[in-house]
Amino acid sequence: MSGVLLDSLAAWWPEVILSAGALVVLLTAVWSKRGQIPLILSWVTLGASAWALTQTGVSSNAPFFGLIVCDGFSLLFRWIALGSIAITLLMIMASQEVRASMRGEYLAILLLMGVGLMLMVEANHLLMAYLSIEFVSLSGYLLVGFPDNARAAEGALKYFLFGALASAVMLFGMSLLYGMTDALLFPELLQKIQPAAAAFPQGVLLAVILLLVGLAFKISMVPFHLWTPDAYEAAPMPVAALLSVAPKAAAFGLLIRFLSTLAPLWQDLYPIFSSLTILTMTLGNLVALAQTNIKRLLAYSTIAQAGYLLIGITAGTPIGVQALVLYLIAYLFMNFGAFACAVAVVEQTGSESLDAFRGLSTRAPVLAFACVLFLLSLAGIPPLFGFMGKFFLFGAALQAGQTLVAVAAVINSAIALYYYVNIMRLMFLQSAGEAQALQPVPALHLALGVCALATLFFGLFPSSVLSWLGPIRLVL
Amino acid sequence: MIALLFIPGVPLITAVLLLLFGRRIGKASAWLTVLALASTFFMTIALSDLVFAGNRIGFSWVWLSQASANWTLGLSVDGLSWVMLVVVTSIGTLIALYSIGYMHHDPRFSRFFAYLSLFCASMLGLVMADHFLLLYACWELVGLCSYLLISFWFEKSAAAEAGRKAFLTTRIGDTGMLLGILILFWSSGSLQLGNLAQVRQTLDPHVLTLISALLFFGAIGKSAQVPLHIWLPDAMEGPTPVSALIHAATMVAAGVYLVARTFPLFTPESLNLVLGIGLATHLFAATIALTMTDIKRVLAYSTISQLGLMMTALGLKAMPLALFHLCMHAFCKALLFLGAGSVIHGTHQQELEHLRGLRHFMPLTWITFLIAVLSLSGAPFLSGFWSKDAILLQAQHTMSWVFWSLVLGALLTATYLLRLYLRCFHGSPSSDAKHAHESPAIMTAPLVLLAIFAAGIGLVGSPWMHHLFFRIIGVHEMHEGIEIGMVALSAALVLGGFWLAWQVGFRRRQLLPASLRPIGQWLYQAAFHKYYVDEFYDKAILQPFYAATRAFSRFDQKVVDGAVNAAGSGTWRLGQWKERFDRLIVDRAVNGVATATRNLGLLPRLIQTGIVHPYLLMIVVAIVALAVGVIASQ
Repeated sequence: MSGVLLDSLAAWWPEVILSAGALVVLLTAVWSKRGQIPLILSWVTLGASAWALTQTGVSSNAPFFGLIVCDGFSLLFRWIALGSIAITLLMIMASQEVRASMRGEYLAILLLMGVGLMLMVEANHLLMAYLSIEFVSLSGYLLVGFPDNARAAEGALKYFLFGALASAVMLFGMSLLYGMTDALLFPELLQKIQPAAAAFPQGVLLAVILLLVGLAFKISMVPFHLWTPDAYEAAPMPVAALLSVAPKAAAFGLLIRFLSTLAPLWQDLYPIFSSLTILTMTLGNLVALAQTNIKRLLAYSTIAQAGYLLIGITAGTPIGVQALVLYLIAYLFMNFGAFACAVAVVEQTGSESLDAFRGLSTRAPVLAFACVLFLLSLAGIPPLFGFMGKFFLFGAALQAGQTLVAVAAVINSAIALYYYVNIMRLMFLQSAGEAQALQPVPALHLALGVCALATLFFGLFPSSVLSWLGPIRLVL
Repeated sequence: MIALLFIPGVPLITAVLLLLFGRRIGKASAWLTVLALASTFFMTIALSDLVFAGNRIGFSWVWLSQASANWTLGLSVDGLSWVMLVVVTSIGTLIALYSIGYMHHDPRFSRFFAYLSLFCASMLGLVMADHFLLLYACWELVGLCSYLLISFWFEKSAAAEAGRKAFLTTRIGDTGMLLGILILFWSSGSLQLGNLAQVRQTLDPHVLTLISALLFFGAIGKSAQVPLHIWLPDAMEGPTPVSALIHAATMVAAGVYLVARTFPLFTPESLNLVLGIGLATHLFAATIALTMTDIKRVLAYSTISQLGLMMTALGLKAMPLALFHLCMHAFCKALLFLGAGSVIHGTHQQELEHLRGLRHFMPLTWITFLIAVLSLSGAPFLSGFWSKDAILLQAQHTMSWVFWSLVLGALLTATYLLRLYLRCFHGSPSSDAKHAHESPAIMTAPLVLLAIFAAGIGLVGSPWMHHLFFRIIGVHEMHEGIEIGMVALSAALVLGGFWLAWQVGFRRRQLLPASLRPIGQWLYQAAFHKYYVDEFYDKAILQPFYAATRAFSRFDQKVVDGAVNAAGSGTWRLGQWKERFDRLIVDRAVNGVATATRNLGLLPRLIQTGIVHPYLLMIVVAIVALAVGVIASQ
């Protein structure tokens, strides 16, 4: 038994380092009130974990008695999780909302969330999946509600209420599924789902639907998106950025794994997915058009982006999944970038209104230029990274014969341009008036620089990213 | 041939330099741009031997090797793109030169030239692209530059709005184009522009029709064809050199170039679509041009109309003729716009009301403008004559109703151009005209050079030079000799146009019999208001769309609020009771405890706002609906 555990650890060092580091950060916070030491320790932990991840090989055997898998697919998503945590850390350093005195606890929760995110994409067992989702959700509620003010508390409580409902429903679905298939491990589930579906055709479907609700909630799929704008609005800006990318990416990873386990049922599930895909992007874009608060606008924008990502699942082909992962990587950079711009503006003007962007091109030219890059990439204008992702996603839909989804997506990306261009118009084509020049702090500059460089570079030369997608062999 | 990279590369690097160090470079940035564009022109000329020999020069690099197919992006120059290169680089250089004078006093002088260089780089990339994806990227980049340049004077709210309108309207067309590219990719597996003829062999005709119609949809947006023409007249809010280069000579012609480049994909059905849209645009815009009173707007509608003529030629399967007209039109229209710019520069007026009798004060502008007007009207043996004549001949041989429509269009063209010319340069000088002065040499020199082109460049497509132009783009069978009948017809059309312009446009005579005048007046008003297309879009599409957006937003933020309102207000009252209780009893008793209560009180306050439980209810309803839906559909 201990032999198995030791062997399993070999593939799991990044998570171990991250957990241990989080605990150390938590302890040092007791002594360090200025928050410098926890910050440095967090970076050291992240660095060590990343180093351990480079050393981790892809193994076919499942460690910890099959509870998790460390294949190429989860490896890619573990990198996405680490990357999001790192960029969030940079943004927290630039943010006043997270005060230095509470940094220690904050950073510890952030690092622990990283462990949860990694577990989510490694989960190979229904209970493991449930626990990891809960892990991520709970740390999410804490991160939203941590600042000592009423708005944050309200937002966190709302977020928690929705999340609790969703995970209760999901757990119910899991228990039903377990009851009907007598399997918890994914590979077993894959074998037993067919006979179970034959025995209880409606019961199995019901269980799967309930189970998927929990994930739909995490990726803000319409109609389970209602928490999104409220939670983002209440959360500190860096946390909103984190929530818009990391749990979503992990949930997509888990969703793909679930669906490949439930492949025999795909025929029955796909009509829901295709209609909800169209609904998600359309609703997100249409509502985003009417927003005047930057956080709410970005929240609806992320809902619409989730709709684009769902196309990869709806297509139901290996190419669709690859396109999804490609777009997810693009989304990581461009969405974090857009939020980082918003952090810079909100931090210095104290206003979350879109008007705070007025005349940004004269107040902070580099920032405005980077912001245009992210917005155009989100809108899918070539030759940026976002366009490449969209191109493959829409193409995958067409290839899978989902013409309606592809047409809706293309039309949606034209609609979305309107509100992205509107921000650009405010930045470039409006005079700054009385507003002050902006000088973002170095940490934020670094975050912006990394995101901008990636958005531009991978758009021009996507070859390198595509080579990472090679090992993804999950087929729906 | 790696040297091909220099053609878009040099202006691109110039643009980056100017964007980064524009302020430090100052006035020299203009000369840097001129130098960069001139060098691209000479590089293009240096390629002429290879191109004339019928070669296709290419340079490509493997861009993606992991995707299902190897994607090799590349630049290539064949006759078709070489001709476009010459047009873009020569006109671009002259317009950059002209802008030095025109933009002289502008505070964002170097920024202007940065955008101009970036535009030229993207346009050159578009023309040379050997792969649909590269073409699409450049296509969007020219759109972006056009947006930046239209709204260059963003202090004017009309300019900022016009830029946005242009960007978004052309994007509608681009969505179609992107779909076309995607369908082409998945049905043929190749996005190389070089082997479209082979692709045609492998595809089903219906799929081809679909693809080509979608690609044409992109061209409709970019080339301002009906029904997406609305952005081009508004784009005139930009600086005049921009109108000349982007919105007359080059970018708007990209749609025509796209159709010409992908011509092998077009089926008879989709060519009929091209013909119909082109012809409708040609006539529709010409009638509006007759009524406009702003010098740049007349030219804008004229551009739309001429682009329609090019599309008509494409629809008649006469791709080389469309391209020939594209080139001739580019020179004439650039000259017309620069002439208009010179007038605006000299008088600070662009309304025809305030412009009269300028020929005494701006002689060079006058002469060059006259040459452009006559050439574009199709006066025999000037450049515009050769291209228009060839299209008319082609129409005569294929469809007579198209021929007669084009004759009408040519008459309208001559009329509105000569009306514009007469009202600007003839008559007794207006008060603004009296203060006018001829523009500086840096502006008139490009005018003179362009006038030489506008008068004589057409000869390269004439029988007198054995159709050199057509041989360059690879067409060897052309009708030799000149049809005297056609020459006479063209001359008659120009004279007829002149007579109409003189009588109605200039001397304001009523030619219609009294009984028909109300109808004439009604038609005039309709054309003057651009057939109310903008208003129609606003009422029928935009307003309902915005209303829907707001409705969605409200619904999303306060779902089923109405249904729970009663319950909500009840809870709210309860909460008030609780708060009063807090204040009267607990608060007075123990202050410390009260703070704690207030913090705890967050929960009831939340429920009071009536937001949480409708949301939760909505989720439950959604889950039930989904489950029922799936199970029922099984």
